[in-house]
Amino acid sequence: MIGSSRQLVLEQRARPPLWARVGLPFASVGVAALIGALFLRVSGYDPASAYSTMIDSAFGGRFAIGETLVEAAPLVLTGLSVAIAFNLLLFNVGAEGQLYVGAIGAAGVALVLGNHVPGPVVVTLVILGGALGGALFALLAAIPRAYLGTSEIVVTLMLNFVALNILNYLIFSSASIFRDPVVRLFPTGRAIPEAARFPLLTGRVNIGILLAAFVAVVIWLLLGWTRWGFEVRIVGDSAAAALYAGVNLKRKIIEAFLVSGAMAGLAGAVIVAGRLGSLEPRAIVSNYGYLGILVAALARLNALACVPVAIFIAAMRTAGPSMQRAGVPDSIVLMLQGAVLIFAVIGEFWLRYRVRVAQRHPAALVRGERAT
Amino acid sequence: VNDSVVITLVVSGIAFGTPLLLAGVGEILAERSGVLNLGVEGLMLVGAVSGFWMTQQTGGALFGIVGGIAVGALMGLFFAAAAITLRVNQVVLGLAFWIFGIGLSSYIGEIGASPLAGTRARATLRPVFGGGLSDLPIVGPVIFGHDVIVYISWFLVAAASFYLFRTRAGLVLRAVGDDPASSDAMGVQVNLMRYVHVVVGAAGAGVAGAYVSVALIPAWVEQLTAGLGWIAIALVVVSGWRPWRALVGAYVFGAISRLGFVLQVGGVKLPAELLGVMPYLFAIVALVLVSMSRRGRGSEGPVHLGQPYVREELA
Repeated sequence: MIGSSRQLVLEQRARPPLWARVGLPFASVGVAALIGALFLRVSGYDPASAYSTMIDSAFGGRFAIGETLVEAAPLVLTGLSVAIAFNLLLFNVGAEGQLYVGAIGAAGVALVLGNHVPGPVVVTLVILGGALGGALFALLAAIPRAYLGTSEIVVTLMLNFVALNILNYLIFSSASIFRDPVVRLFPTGRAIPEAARFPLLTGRVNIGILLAAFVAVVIWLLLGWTRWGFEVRIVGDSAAAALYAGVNLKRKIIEAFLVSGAMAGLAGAVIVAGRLGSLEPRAIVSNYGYLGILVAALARLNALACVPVAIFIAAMRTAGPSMQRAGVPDSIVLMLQGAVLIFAVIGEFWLRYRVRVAQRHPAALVRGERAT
Repeated sequence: VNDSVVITLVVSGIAFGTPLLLAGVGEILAERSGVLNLGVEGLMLVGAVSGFWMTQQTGGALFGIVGGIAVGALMGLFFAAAAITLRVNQVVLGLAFWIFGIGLSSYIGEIGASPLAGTRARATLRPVFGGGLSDLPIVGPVIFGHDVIVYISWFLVAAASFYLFRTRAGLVLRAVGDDPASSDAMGVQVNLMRYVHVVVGAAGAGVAGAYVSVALIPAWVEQLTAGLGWIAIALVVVSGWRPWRALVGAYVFGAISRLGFVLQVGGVKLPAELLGVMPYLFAIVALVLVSMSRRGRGSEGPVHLGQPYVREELA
């Protein structure tokens, strides 16, 4: 009796079809929304009204759309930060901490130079200060990773807590230049000079989102159309092949970390000079870096796709406070975001494999004794 | 003697090291099978809030502990299905479970008319040995001053170590993590082994969380575990995937995280942030030192850690 039984077989797809690649993010959002509705229902809330409140407060009217765009700018950048590193199979989960240090760098430049240098120049320097802060902080994880093989996942995560404590120290436990000299109820960040703030486009929307979109195009060109990006992608596909092709692996790791950290630091600058106007820990510590992982995963590591995905995630975030007002705990938003990420990575499975019912192969064929 | 700074530090190091140890030993078992579960912090949070809920419902702290185990194992089963059967990228999956766990635990803590968040536990764990034994100098507080979970954790460390290095099943487990293809050829059910150890490991994270919310603190607030799960993951690497070393490491981390509190009682004032950053700095330095000592020989961990096993099939 040869090969009469049937079984489920996983077949690897050579290249996922376009509809699957575009449809995956939407499908994962849909499934997460269903799970969320179940949780809401079980805990005694009305899912339909909760979701319609969410959509209303994120896209209902000019103000809501403006808020969403302001929130989206740092998320585009942290998404890019994660996407660059993950392209190289470097799991930089330190965008959160690199963002804090970028925010400190940007605020420092703004406070020191803001009143002495003309506007456009100081804004440029603030942006560079943020990028430099993030890049240097990323270097702390990059060097042990490149030269000693230390796990970048654990080190970058530990560094997030280090950066968090530095940020809190500057405002809450020291009389640094970042802190407002007038302490009212709680210490707050010192306002940066008007000249150092990002110009406004309309309403409260600043140039941050344009800057982020521009950077996304640059990174997309860099990854897809330059020798550097090509080498990065080879390393991601196979480190052995890259070595064989003469790519300097250690150097690529350091460079990718620097660019990745710079993106996260830039996000910090966008938050400080665009949105807040001061180094304000309570508003900066808000998961922007961690959500970058979600943005990059939903964008499937494509730099251009980070822009619309970040706008979508930002819309979910701006909906949080209004959920709270409607009586639903706003932590449902973070839960939904986690669920979206879970289903997005699970969806990758359906992109890579096809499930098929097949005849079981006779043992002889498995051993390679195929009749010719 | 028992009130001296050193003894206080050792005792609180053991108490605060216990959740690290429970989560760490669980993660060692999962990683030894070749599966990297980075969701420990998320599992701990969900275990903590469910255990706390159970305690509030039943009035018994041990029910809370059991609740934490059960919920951790259930989440571990979902993780295993995605990581092992669906061959999902384990790094991203773990991070996703973490974010989901933060959101879910905060949400559970906030629902209803009288939410759990900000309340104290109705019951907590008491020291096993009262009176005479725990008043002995030095050994009293250090050995006899703990609740039942601490003693169970010592037993678990011994059991896990014996299992990993002295039994045939443990040998098979290590083989599955190091070389799943050969193990498969030898007739080992690779994916079954992985499922079992991921679920057991996740139960360890769940009970670690419940220990925090019903014994250590004992209360529930959002993000109660505050990064302990990540320290536990660092602990696994630093321990070289060995339970006894994890015990030592957990207590050292526990003591460092309590250093500020103990010093403050002793009259030394340092900024909260400097003390808060200590365990993380210590973890980074330890990780770098470990990889320096192994320079050129790669990681000490399971060879196939984080890689799904796919049997090569003829199409």
